[in-house]
Amino acid sequence: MDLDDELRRLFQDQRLDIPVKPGADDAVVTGARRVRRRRRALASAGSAFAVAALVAGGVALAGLGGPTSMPPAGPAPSTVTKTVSVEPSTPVSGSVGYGVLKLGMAEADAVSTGFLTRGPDDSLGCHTYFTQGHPDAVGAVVISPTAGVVRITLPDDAKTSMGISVGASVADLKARYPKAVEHDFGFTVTANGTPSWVYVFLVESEAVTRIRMQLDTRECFLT
Amino acid sequence: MFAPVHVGVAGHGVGVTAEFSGERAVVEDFAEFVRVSLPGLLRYGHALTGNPHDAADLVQGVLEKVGSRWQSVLGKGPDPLAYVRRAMANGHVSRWRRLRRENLVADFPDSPAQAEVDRLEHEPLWQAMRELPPRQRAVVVLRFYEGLSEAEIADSLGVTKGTVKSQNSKAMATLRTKLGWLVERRE
Repeated sequence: MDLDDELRRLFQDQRLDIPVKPGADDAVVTGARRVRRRRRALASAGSAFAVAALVAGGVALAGLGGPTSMPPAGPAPSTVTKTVSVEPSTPVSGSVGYGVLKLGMAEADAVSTGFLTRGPDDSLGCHTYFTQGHPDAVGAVVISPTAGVVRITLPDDAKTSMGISVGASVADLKARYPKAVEHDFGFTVTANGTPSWVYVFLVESEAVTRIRMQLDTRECFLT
Repeated sequence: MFAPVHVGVAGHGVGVTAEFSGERAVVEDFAEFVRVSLPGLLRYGHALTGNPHDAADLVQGVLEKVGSRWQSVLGKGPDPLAYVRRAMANGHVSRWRRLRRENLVADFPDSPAQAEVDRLEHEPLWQAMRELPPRQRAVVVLRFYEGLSEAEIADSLGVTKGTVKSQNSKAMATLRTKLGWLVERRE
């Protein structure tokens, strides 16, 4: 048999049909209203968070919260720092990121760095951006209208604070991050900060192919 | 936020009323979309997830999110159904889906099918597909259910064409291994 034909046949099978129970459509519409109300509430809470982040940033600048990030490397792309700013275990103060890009940063501020080129919106209405390091990668940076920057993809030659960069072996990754959790796409390492964020290591053929820093949020489709 | 839309009723003259009517029109439009597309989306979800329960769960989660910003979805293109299907494929592979599930309320009526044995339970190919991790399964479904090209699949899932290629060949190798004697017998 031809596997391609069998797959097409399977997907045309009537037994894939699932009967719709009466009332299911109303439940969905009601649910959509609830999600919208929740998002509006989050949006107003978002401005309060921005204030908190500003205060936390001030503390970090004063050296009381522990410096958790490299200073901005300047506007020219060639001068972006190649050191990732924090370790996942370090308590964060709202300024975790790569170079001048920070997780949670407002969209306008992120765009004004000049490193981002707008891509298509994702399935939940978040804005995706290409970066100069990843001009072909859809969603290299993802920005939520309410939560700000939720994903930063590291340039391939960047290293995490534990020395992992693209090309590192899975064995190295596990050795440097013993608490890394395995998924079908690779590994994640969760930071203890507030807000919570993760390193996402995509893996193919036992080697790291991409490294992302992501806020632990459900606002966007972060696959 | 839903911006006011033209609803074809002149003379109200009060912004709040117009916005309210506009919002209601958007909700009604979404409700109609749900009524028409729910059977097809559940079927598609069944193919993606491999069982009726997760299918209903996935469809509900995605439609709630998409419906909550329906007007902006309509502004993205002429085919909201294709948009929802892409969102479902992404939702299925997303490692965040588990978290979202915990947030869902239990008011989505259970599908009658889920109390029964999955009607495809005894199909060897259907069983073999259980072995596939979510991303590989999504690639197979996008390719053979939706008939998308490698480039379209890469675009839909936000991965490179190389990833689509490798995930597809891994998936096909797994299926061939599981179905070994069937493949040989019919060739």
